Amino acid sequence: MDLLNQILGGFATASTPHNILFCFIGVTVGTFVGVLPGLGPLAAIALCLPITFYLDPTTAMIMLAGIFYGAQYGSSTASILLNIPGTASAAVTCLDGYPLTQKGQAGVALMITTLTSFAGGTMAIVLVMGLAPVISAFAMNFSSAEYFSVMLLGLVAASTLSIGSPIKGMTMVVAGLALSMIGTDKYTGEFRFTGGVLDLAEGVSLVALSIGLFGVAEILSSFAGKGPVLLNASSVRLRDMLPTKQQLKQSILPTFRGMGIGSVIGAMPGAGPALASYLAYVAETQVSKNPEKFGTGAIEGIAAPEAANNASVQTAFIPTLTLGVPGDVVMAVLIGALMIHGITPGPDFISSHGDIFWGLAASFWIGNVLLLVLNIPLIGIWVRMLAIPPRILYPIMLVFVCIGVYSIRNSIFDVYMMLLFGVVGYVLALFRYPAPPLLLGFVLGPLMEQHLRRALLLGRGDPMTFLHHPISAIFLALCLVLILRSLPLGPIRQKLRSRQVHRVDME
Amino acid sequence: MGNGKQIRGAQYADIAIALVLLAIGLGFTIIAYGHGLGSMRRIGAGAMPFLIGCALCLCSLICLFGALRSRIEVDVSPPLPVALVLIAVVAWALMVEPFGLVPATVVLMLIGTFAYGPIRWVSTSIVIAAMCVGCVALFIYGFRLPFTIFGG
Repeated sequence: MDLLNQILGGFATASTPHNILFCFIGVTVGTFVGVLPGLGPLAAIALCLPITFYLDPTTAMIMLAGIFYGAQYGSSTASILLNIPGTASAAVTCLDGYPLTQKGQAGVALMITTLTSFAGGTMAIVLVMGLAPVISAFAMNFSSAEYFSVMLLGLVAASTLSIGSPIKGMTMVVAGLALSMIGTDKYTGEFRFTGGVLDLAEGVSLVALSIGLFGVAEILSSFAGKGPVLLNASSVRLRDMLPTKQQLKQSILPTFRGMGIGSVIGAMPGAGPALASYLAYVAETQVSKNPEKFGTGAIEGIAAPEAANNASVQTAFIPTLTLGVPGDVVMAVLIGALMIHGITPGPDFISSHGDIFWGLAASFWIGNVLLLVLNIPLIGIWVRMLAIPPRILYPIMLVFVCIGVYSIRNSIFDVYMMLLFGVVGYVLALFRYPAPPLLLGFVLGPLMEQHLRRALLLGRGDPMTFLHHPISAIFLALCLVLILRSLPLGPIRQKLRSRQVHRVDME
Repeated sequence: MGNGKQIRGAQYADIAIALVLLAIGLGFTIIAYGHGLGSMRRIGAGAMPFLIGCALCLCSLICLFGALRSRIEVDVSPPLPVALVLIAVVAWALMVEPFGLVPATVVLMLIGTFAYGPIRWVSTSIVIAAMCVGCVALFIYGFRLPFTIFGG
């Protein structure tokens, strides 16, 4: 009954006209950036971050979360119609979505992705509402040792499980941790790594860093693209979107499997929606009786990954809000947004800020319904968006990033910092150094230092305290497994093996 | 809009990035040591940064070995448009306080649009005018941000 009351309370919070309006703005912006290739949800959230300072924390979170899951809906549109994924998680949708477009069934593919996205998201919301309070209650027993270890696990997982080179990912995590150390040390009051620059006394601005790394870097790399994509907007009409009974039947079981995989992957720290949709697709090819049809326009090939990535973006809120450990970089920015409002997510978040948690969880459902309305009747508008030329879009974005960064502290210094991080982010991206782990490290750095200090103080200076706490020891063991798995040991193992064979031959 | 091209000597740049990261790691470690490591029970202001600096050195060394062993191809943007975007932002930053939001926005939009090719004056003027009106309405009258419309 208590749970039901809390859920009803959440719906009461989320359904105020003010919150519905910002939820609508969030999901619309999310769909917009999802549809446009290259402009991800992270850049959009970073751009909207300054606006949220003028909102109360619940409304701010509702809007930012709306951008995140709205982008998952929108990203499939460009994947299906143009074979260009709007976000990394939609890359898998290209595999069968685009062949369907080539067969003249783009409308059906869009309808199936919207329906399965809604189904995946809805099931995951139930999981968030049911599981988050249980995990919170469990995590209430965590001490600083467990916190430090679980954050370390989050960082290691984010760098090693992400797509690309694990060692470059790890380097970026460490670079993010280093950046987070700049500023005044809370315990001793010392200025660290400021180089005498007073503007750095409060540390590097999260907004300048995230907008620089993702917004400005994105604009700088836009010149290397293939040019604007022009599309016949009238090619997708509502009446072309209705799937046949057979197609609906084909998508039911893959949707459920995708939901399950996405929900589990989303709740794991470090594994984002891209991994969820990829695994769901692989699973479908394994269970299918006709695996050869994948890649040629199989309905299952779009239903499962879409359900999975939408489920994962909802369950990603479980570790973020109950442990304070962001699953991926978007969650890290959301934690940053909450911290700017003076709220630190953790086990006591649901009990002390229940209104925010339940209001946010209820808004997910409202947002998913709004997305259904936005994506089915209004699909023609989103398709037309694909034709906006970069020479109009990117200068407008530049104005917003400048105003956004300046408005946080009325500081021109922050605008220059954003520019610096933009150039750094652009160069790093060129050489395949992933920027998201850097931002994760930056957000978690101060929290990790705080828990390291506390754990060592309580453990009377014994570093083994991290192993004496069983849960902490398990987290550390998992970190070790992930690091060992990602090390480039292949050539070394081969050499060792060939030496052993050589020795056996000699004997 | 120009197309990106693969640059020669990308491998050297990859090595240079690893070396820069290594240098930053070394510098970070040395400065952190100067802040004092403290005791195990009560770690000092430099302890966590010291560990991070060491980790950065180690990671960048592994990246350096990787860069020495493998070749990398990069798809780089042409330098002139990139420079124009940077100049556009610097111009906005230099102008917004002394001249106000509207002149700064106009200059940024003009340079930014020029970065993408020759300016089509009619459509660009309409977009810039709409942006100026929108920004003043949203940020100055809506969110009451401390910008002036014209002048310092």
